[in-house]
Amino acid sequence: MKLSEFNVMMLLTDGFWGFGGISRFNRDFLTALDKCGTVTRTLAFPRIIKDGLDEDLPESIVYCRASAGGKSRYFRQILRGLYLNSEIGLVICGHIHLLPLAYMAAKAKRARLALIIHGFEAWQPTRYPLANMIASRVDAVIAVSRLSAARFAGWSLMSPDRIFVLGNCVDLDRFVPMPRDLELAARYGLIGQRVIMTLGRLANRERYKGFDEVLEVLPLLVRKIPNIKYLVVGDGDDRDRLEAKADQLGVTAHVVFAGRVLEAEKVAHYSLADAYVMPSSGEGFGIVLLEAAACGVPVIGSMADGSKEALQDGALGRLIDPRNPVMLAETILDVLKLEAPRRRPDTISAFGTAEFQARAGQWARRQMEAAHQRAAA
Amino acid sequence: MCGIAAALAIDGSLDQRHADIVASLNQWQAHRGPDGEGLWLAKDGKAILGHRRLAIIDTGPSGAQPMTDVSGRWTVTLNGEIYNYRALRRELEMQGRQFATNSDTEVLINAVAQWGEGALTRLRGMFAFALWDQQERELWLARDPYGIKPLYTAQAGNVLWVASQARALAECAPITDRRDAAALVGFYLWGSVPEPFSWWEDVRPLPAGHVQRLSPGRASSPSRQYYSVPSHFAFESDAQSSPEFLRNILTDSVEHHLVADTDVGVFLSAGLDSNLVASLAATKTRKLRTITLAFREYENTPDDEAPLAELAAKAIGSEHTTVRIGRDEFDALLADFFCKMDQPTIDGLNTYLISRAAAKQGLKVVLSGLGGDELLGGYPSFHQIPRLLRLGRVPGVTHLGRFAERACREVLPGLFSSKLASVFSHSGNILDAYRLRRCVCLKDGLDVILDKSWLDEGFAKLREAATQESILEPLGQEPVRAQIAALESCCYLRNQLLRDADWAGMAHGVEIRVPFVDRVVLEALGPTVASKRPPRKSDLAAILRRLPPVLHGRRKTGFTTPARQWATGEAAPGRHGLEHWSNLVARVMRTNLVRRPAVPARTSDAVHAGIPSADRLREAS
Repeated sequence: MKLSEFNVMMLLTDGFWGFGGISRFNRDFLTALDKCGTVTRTLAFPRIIKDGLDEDLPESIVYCRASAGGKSRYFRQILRGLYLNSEIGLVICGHIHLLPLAYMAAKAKRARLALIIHGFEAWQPTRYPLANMIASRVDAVIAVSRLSAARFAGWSLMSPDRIFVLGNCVDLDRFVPMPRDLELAARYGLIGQRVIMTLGRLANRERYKGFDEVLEVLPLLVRKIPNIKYLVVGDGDDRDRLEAKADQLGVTAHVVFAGRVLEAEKVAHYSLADAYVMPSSGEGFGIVLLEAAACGVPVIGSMADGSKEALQDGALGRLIDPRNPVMLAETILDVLKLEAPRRRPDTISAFGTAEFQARAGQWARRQMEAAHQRAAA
Repeated sequence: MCGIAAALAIDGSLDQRHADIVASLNQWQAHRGPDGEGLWLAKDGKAILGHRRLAIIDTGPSGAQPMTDVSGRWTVTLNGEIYNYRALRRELEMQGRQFATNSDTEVLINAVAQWGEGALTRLRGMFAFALWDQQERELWLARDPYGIKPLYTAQAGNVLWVASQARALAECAPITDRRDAAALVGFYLWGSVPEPFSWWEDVRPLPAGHVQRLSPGRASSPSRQYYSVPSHFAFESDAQSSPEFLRNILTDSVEHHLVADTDVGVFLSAGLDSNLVASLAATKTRKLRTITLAFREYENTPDDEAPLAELAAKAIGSEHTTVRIGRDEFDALLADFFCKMDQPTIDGLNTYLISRAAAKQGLKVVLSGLGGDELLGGYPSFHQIPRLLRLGRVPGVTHLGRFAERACREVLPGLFSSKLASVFSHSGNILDAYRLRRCVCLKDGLDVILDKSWLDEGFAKLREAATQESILEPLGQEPVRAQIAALESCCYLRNQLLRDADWAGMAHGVEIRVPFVDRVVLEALGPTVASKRPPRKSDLAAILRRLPPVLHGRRKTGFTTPARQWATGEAAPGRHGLEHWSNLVARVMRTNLVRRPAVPARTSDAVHAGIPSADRLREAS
């Protein structure tokens, strides 16, 4: 047994008190660094702090609240962090757009530099030539899926042995099969209805979640199942367009826009669904698919992006081609025909928190060893 | 000296499951008492007492615990020693009380039976106990005045759990393992978790010098302070010390601390305190064994204490052993060191190593010179703090100091040590000055160590507890020297030195006795600490005339050790300070890298008392 200090600096978009898949991953990742026993302390610099879950911060994470709120503040806080902390062995960049800043920090501390890639943002070179250039020179990469790893390696020419695939995880104690919350169902007018659901950000610039594809097959589904409802959970600047589209297709009465829901209400919302459907084409991984599956909801996901890995190549749910509406419609009808009680697939345990923490810890240990080797040299 | 455990049903009654947990607490603390185990359940199922025994007085089966008295009313599980038990027994016998054993434990029971809570101030020794009064259906918990022996409680639902070690409760009792924010902040500030907090939010120490009486069905009653150490430093105008006076007081204390039915040894270093204890002990016992820890790394260097200690041992005439430890041997011990560590602490490594050496020599009881510096003004704080306070009297100096401190930290970190930069800002009052003297890391430096959420919560809890303020409360108008002695005795000594001496000694089943940390010594010397003629280190030198002069003239060095450097695998010492070490300790304790394997304890393993099965318990009720 030898004891040595290994401090980590992490630059991230959002994490604690944030929303969405990336913030979820960052929270889980930071927690894993706390638990792994390798990292003495992690200084985390978020770009954004929203007002999500009120949760305890792991004790070895110092979460710099002052860094959220503007680029110049962010820059100043990173400088201050570098100034006040003598030893940092690893700088982790949580988003490819933050890479130039992370590179500077790593250089300043003679630390290793690691990059986390989530999905779409790193499948092709970014708008920033500097970030692209640095991306090919980082010491290590974490990718949330094999697909993201391959796409990133494709353009950055990063050697595959530096890329570590660390899929998202789902809290299997919190996301559990629950009976339908009748009050919630009544609020959305879902009592006595067959419900399909998609959860995600309705972002105009990222129309890859598959809301359009589901709306397009909805008229066909309504003909076969008149009491079908499509529950859209999430919000964003694309909502007006999607509402107008539903209107055009004549299915407004069959679509419910629930808006954004709090993290604590998510399980109740998944439990309203008879099928979770997401014919996406740009998901890096698709943590929502796992959450739905953990709640025992039958899942239909895409075979064209990272969802395929999240669904374990079909073991956790049905795979469809998002460009094939007939296949999508038939699979939905097929799934809604079954009236089996909710059951969580056993193989989902591979995506449990324990597994995630073990793998993240394994990666952190390798980084520490490499950092110490570099220091010794 | 042992490990104790207990459970009390606040509502309902206890059954087999609870007995199993007390048995596992016993098992967790097995290293504290390798000589025996006991488990006892109250007839009505309201309380369970557990005990691991290190047999020192009345070492036969009659001294086994938990022990019930002749009347059958009282049952106790005790960790500690009552040094004046023979005198108390005579007194109690004269008042008609009957005894069945020769142990100090039975004397404790009878003293409480005879004098109630008043008994506690008559006891001379170190103790923590849980005592069940079958008649009143009441559980007594009590801890000695200085808090030499630990006692922790944790409430989970309707059951109150008690143990000698906080970590035993955290790992065995059904409680959450959430960290206490005040403990985190306190640990990074001072290097040990400050009472009244523990590393785990659900686990609480019973404060030193307190007694608590709990009964089932009644909402938990607060503990009551029966003894205040700080108030004994209040200056009395006619009090003064002299070498002769000091000699008499300390001789009496050492003599009391030699009471045992086994061999007693002394930890001997090149320092005056341990030499005094050894030399006084040598006059009171026929065969004294002394033991010194030395490091191979230091052989033939000025840091090596062994040659001086050997010289001293020769002068005293003790049977002396120098135990030299090398890097390889140490490496193999590090995991066990953290495994036995109760709560995070930046100290304890040397005590751990020397206790191991003592155990290997077959010693169960060892005297230590711990606590001498607090009474005899041995720490630099005794002259540095008054100087700092004089500086603080210059108008505006603290305001200017705060500005300078911030400037140094934000603009020029590394130019000055942060402690040096804070000298002016901490000169306004004694508490600030003391905190600066004792801190590992300054308050302002914590924001890169702990997150704001922990800091806000931790500081709020520390402010609310106001422990240090309450230490000074009875000494409002007293001279600074008395206040420093009180702070050192109730903060550093209690939270760091005594706590580490307990777990690190007990890690090897070695009882460390501290003749300087004694109620009677305090009552005699406390009032003289601030007098015109306070007891001084130089008085010890006068008492120690027999010792080689080289020991007298030696400057206080503090015990140097390569052990931390070994642990971190660094080539040279001094690159990293204690702050670095505290980070490492916290990391190990946080992630429980060395969590001991969970061995499910069954009550059938208990040797002392039969526990009825859950079914039989239910029938009985």
